[in-house]
Amino acid sequence: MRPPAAPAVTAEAVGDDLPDLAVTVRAEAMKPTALLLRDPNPIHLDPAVVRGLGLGDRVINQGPLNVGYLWEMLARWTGDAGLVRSLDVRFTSNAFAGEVLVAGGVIEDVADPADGDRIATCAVWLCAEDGRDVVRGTARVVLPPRPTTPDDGGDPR
Amino acid sequence: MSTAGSVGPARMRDGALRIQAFEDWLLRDALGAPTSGERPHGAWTVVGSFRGMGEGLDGLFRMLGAGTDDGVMFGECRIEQVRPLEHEREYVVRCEVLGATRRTGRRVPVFDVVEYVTEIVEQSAGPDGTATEVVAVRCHASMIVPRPEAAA
Repeated sequence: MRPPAAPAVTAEAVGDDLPDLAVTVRAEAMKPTALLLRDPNPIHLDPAVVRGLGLGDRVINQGPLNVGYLWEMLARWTGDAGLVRSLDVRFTSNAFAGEVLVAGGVIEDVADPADGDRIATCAVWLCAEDGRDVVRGTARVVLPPRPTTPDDGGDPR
Repeated sequence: MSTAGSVGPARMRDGALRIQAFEDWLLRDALGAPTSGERPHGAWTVVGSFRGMGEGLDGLFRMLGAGTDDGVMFGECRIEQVRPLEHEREYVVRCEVLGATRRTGRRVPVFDVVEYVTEIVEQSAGPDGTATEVVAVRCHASMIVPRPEAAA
């Protein structure tokens, strides 16, 4: 997949929604992820193990992938994942192969100090189609500086 | 923090992390993200914390007193990104289990909430040869560890 053409911050005020990101949980994606994580847990690989544990009949997505969808949603919003200062999440339910999840968020606060970065505090979530929360939490993200204008005393050139 | 069962404060030996470009491609592909980027995908803050642990996830599970197929689940995770990670850079990864709290629930009758902290650390030598360290990423997380033997 190619990078998005033009990253742009389309939300930057309290109450603004962050652009949703819909993803489909893929069993095939869990296999390389298990290798990258060095995670031997068979619940990500073998549906028979999931059934044996009474957790369902499809493999269960790795938690770091669920967090990764939130990072991706934030990266598409800001254009730069390096602007995410913190991500504080709670894992509330499992996501299963084949499910469609939506990552989203809303800006709850914007700190705009005179001598520092503008920081947006956002409620973020990853929800399944049936409305179930998979992950819920808070992200703190640096917003781009406001454009200066002559009235601000900034350089108008 | 109180300790529960055999889980008490313990530190894992230091590990290493180096994110190669093809590994970043694989993770991005798994996430459905653009497969190229100036820096590793943000998900490496968590993936790298696990991947780089000195004794691996197996070792962490041993410290939790659990097996990899015991139904251990993520609880919470607070990720601080002090500096974005970089491709092909060598990092040190530290992991420390802080302790555990025993709880009871409906779905899992008895379980421990085990807290641990991982740090992905940049190490470099200053002009005078002095070693310096900067924490690039810190994750303060918890795992839910079922304890069926305690419920019996």
